[in-house]
Amino acid sequence: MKRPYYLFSSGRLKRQHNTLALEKTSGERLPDDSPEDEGVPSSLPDGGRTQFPIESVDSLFLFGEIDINSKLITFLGQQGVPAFFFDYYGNYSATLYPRENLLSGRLRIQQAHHYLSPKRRLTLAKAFVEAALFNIERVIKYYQPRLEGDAQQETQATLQALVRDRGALPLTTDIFTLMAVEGRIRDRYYKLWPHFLGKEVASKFPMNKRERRPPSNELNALISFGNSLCYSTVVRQIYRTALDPTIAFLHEPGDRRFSLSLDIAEIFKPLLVDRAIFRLLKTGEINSKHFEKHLGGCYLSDAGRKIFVQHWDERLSKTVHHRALDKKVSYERLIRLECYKLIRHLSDPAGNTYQGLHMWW
Amino acid sequence: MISKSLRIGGMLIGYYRLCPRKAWWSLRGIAMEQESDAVALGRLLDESSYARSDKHLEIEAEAPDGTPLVGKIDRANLKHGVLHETKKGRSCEDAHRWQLRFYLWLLYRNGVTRADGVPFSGQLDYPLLRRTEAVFLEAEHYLELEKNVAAISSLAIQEIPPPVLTQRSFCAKCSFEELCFG
Amino acid sequence: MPYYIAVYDVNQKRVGRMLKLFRRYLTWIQNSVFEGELTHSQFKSLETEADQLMKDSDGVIFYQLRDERYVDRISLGEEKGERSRFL
Repeated sequence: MKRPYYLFSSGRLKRQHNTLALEKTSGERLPDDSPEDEGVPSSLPDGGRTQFPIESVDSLFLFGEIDINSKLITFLGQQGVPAFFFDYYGNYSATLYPRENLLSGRLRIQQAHHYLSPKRRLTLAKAFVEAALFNIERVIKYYQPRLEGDAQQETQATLQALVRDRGALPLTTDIFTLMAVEGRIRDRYYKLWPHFLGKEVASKFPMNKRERRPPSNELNALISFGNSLCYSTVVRQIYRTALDPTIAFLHEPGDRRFSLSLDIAEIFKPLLVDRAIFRLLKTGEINSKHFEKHLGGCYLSDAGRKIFVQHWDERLSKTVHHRALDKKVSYERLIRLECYKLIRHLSDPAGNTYQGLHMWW
Repeated sequence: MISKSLRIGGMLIGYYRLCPRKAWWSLRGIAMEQESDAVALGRLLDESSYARSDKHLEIEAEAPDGTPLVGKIDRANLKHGVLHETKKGRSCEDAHRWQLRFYLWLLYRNGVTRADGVPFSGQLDYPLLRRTEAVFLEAEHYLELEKNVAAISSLAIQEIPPPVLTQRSFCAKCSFEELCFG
Repeated sequence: MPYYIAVYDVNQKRVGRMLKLFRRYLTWIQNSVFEGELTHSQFKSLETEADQLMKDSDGVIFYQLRDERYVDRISLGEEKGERSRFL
């Protein structure tokens, strides 16, 4: 059984006896972008070494400062293990995406065809936004019954706007408007977060609006970090299918290298990212001491990232009953199923029209 | 759009007889992870269970309508004139039999027999179950295989996939289940 | 997902190769003891490769559990292996 491995330590990751070994360093890590940096490791391995079985590795998430060489890259390629790199601040920086062994030429052509045909592209783009809005609605409805007074009213108003906008999606005629609708709803949704978090938590972590580069406060830092995890988690699921990760429908191929992942991630963010943030803040597992300020931005500290990632990993393995398959399916597997639904649509748009995941639980 | 590179193999015949939709996915080059895992396991089973004296064999032939056919045979005992196919379990027995009959048909089409003129026969090996089953190619199978090849050729140029099987329970063991129903 | 505990007792000459083989599939726990989840085909490959290495009076035992949840681990002294995926 293959699972993701998360490397928080710094050091050298290497291929050793046909498996993986991490030689850890214990020194202080220097920021990746310091001007006097010479590109050598911040500190050298001090002998501590952990080997782990390559057969159990689905993918690698590298949060520390990791030194690698081409032997390792070749090995990961042979083994079909993608690796995701994060910089000093925890920002997603790159993916090592091994050669795709499941690609299908015909499917790729279909995918490009659906991108190039404005009508077909719009159909898919709408489906992503529709499902994203539906799942935001589910999250709002989950918290709404516990709210009172103004909070209740404001939530109700947002819900009404959301339902109205979602209902109007079929009339939308271009992607730009679609993006704008989603952005508008998300802004209103973020304004409700203080209500969902409760007075005590909200007083420590204010939420005004979404600010990305750099994240302006703690909640923005959490959203950015969570979204990066979501993006890379979707990439690693797409990798296990015949889909081409670079051709998207809602997003433009240039938005990120694997733009299809951005499309699919929209659907899963409310379930995976937003709810993880509420949970971690409400339980106090993540609190003020887990944030650091750098260059006018706010970031999760190493310890904070580790807590977030551990929770993330657990959350992905939570299961729900899938009616059509009549079995329990993990949240992570739901992402894979989303890819399969997309393949069905691309192969037979009229007979198997894509509808994004609607949380049914 | 006619696929010029179409070459029909034994596994595709097996797929088609089980479920035309599965064959269609496969013709599109869409493979499932579990499928490749199962194939790897099958190869391993074959390598670890049997002596190396038998040979892997690749046969090419042409169907009566000119469709190129290809057979990749696990092991062939040329001396006794037996083609072997190793399988894990008996869940798709009928498809396994047709896969072997297809290989026997390729030999027949090429006019290959044992040294003494007796046609080759087939044997399904189930090492995990410690069982074998003999498979023969009868005259009535020729026409059936011919029909299957023609059907697969037209499946290859079909734009959309055939519908899912009506007998859903059949899909529970299929590695494509999540692709069709997920 | 089946969970395995594997132990081996092999001649000194082959210990190194056996160790390298097992490290590819399972987590090293302590001398000659490994644990981990394997799919059927992974288990089959490990079994085959181990079998090819073995000679004379070498022995390998796999304990197969239906799931890791059925393992109650009681450990005394220092835990030598690293079983975490958070490194």
